[in-house]
Amino acid sequence: MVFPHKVGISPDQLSTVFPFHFCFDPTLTLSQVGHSLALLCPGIAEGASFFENFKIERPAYLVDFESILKQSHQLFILQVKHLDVKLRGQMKYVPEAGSLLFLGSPWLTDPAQIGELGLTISDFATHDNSIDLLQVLQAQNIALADTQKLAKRLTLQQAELKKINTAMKDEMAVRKEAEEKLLEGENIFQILFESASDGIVIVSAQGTIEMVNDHLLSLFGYSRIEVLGQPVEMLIPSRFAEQHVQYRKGFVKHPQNRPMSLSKPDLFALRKNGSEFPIETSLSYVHSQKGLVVMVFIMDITEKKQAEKDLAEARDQAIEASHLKSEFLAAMSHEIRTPMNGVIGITDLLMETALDEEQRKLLKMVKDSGASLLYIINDILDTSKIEAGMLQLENIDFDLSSEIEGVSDLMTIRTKEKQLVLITQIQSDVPRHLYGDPGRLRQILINLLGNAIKFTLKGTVELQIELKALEDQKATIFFSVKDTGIGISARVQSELFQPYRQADQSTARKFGGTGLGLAICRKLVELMGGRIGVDSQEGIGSRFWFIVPFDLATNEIPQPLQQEDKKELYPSCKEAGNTLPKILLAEDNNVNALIAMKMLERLGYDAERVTNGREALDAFNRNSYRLILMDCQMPEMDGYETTSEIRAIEQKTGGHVPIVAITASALSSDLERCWSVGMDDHISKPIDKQLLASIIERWVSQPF
Amino acid sequence: MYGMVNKAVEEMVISQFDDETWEKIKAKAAIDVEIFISNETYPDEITYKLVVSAAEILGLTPDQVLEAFGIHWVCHTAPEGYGELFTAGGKTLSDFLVNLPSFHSRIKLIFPKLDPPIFIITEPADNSLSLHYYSPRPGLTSFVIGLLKGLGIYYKTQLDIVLVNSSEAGSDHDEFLLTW
Repeated sequence: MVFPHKVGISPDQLSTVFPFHFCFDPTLTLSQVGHSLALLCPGIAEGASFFENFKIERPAYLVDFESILKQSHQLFILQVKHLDVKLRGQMKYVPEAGSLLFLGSPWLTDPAQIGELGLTISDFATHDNSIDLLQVLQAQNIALADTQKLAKRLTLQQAELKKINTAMKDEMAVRKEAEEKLLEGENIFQILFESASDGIVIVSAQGTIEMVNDHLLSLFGYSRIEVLGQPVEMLIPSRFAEQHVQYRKGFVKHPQNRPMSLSKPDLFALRKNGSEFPIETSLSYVHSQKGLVVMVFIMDITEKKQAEKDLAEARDQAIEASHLKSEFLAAMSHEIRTPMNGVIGITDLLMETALDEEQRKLLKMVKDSGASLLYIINDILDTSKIEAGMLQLENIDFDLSSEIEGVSDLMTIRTKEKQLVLITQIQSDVPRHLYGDPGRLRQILINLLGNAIKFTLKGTVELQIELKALEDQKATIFFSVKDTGIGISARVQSELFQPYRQADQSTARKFGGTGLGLAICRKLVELMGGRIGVDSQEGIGSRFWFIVPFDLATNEIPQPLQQEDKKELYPSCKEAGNTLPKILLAEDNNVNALIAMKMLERLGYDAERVTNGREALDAFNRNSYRLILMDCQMPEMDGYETTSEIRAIEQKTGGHVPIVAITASALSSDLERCWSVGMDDHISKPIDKQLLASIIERWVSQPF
Repeated sequence: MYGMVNKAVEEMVISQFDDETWEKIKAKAAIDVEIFISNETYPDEITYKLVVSAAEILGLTPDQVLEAFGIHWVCHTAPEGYGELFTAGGKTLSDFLVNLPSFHSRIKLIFPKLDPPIFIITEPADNSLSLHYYSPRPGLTSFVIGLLKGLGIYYKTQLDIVLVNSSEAGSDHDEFLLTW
């Protein structure tokens, strides 16, 4: 078969399908150039020399037309001179033209080359797969970029993973440690919780029981399952339950740890069997994941309460016993001293009668023995009171100088008897008006001076009073009693202020005494807030001292009238020659009454005696008296009641008879009672004649 | 769909918003692909889900997202992804449009698993042509419009796009009359 038209192809048509083709003749001169090749390299044009524009890289060593023709079946790679581009293609001999035709296109390995060469896709033939190749390359590049990106991200992620891994490992370790600690803590907590000596209940903010220890269960008699999840009020007596709910809600709002010691008093808990028992509680709280949790420690204080009750009973019994002892002591005081006062008083009276020397001497011994016995009894009673803790000090305003004067006067008699010299010195800056217990101060001074006189055979006894400090209405006063006596050894000094101690047995035998005086002095000084001590050298003498703070007197103390002044202003009744002032003595004890009546008689008063309060009241109603001496302890109606009655009558009738109490003791409680019923003064037994005289005179001399 | 498309969606969201927004979109679309491989083929469903999710998160319509994506593709993804090859697509908008059909034909050869759309140019003139768009995937008309708008921007050419025939209106393909 013969085809009518063979495909003839014009140079332009060839250029469309092979835009980079060119033809060259045997002289190696270019005769035809495709339009894209011309675009690529303007120097490549018809008439140009092959080798001026191309270098044949493959096949190698081709230098002329003939050699190229011979290798035309090979793949040709041409380097375009002056451009960094190679053409890839094949040679075809065209016999009609006697020329070689190169068919190919640029060999591109990088998409960027298209742009660099100034080409576009349109410059390539549609069938040319160079562009496809570039597209594959581009796809490869993209894939590579994706891979690189992935690799980078992978590396980062791996680093991140490692970091996380390490952090996780660390965290795991920390967690493990924390868990171990928690476990250990839980174990410890559990052990402590269960071994606690108190019942423990853990309560939620809503008031439900979350946890209890065994001790609590045994306290309340419940099993664990019976209490868990139940309101805590089940452990509280119903009468407190409602109040407890309010309290609990308040606690949740303002939680505060509270120790057992601050537990509310009289708390009670309720057992399962309905019985109650006294408790003390402590509260502590913590904010947990579940919210506020309160831990309550509950202590059964039944035994404690019982012990407290027993103790209170024992204390009451002791107080009662002590009270009885006190009453016994008071009774003893009265019972022993009353007859002894009688003995002394009668002896005094007897001594004023006509006696021969022998009789007087014997009577003096009776009086001295009685006085000694009274002294000893007083010491024993004081000691008993001290031991029973019943010795109480009086606190009144007093005049120090007159107290010292009184003591000095009293002791001068005794020093004179022993031919000693008593020197009393009060420094001028010592305040005169003090507030305290003058009676006990006197007792101390008499005791110390008495000892000094007792143990000094010759020489002096010196009483000195100095002011040590004066501030804030308080005067600290130093008293010292110095003698030139036998002195005391250092060994004995240390024990001197203990009860029942004397320097030694021979001293006791030689000088007598109970050995209680200094112990009493020490206690009295200590009760006054002071100190007592001694400096002494054997054979040279002793100095006993004490230092006591006194408050200054708040009121002005009236100056006692001097004897001389009294005489002038109120001449004694006797001397004036007036009617004798009438005095009523109410005293049940015949001996005491006898002594008192004798004294009054000698003092020049017209005395009348009655034996009880009722009689005294009758006498008061019948007669007018200038003064009544009233014994406090009397049968039928005692002195206190009688005085009250008299004062009541006086309220209606007007007038005021001075009533002087005769007291068995100078206990401040007794005196207070005297003042409260309206007595004006007091004198204690045994009645001192001088004191009686001055007291009566003071009151009698006052105008009606 | 070609991985590069999904990757382009990702790049667009990240470049115009942030990583966090992209993660939100991915999470909303329930897609747990960490990295899209450019040359890998992914189910079309992923691309649709991403577009719907992005629309919801960004407060746009899916068509707006697709159009924006088309513009972003031409102006950023393609020049960066294809580099000089994209530039070589044509010196002018007209050149590029004329080469578009062959370009997709080549893709079909290179990536046989891909099912690229078909573009046909008819009535090419100096300042106009008709572009016929056939695709096995429905609903991507807005994407094509975005691509065309992007080309106008890329070639700095005022391009008018008229959808002459629409697949949504029952035609078997979309036909755009493009004038510049």
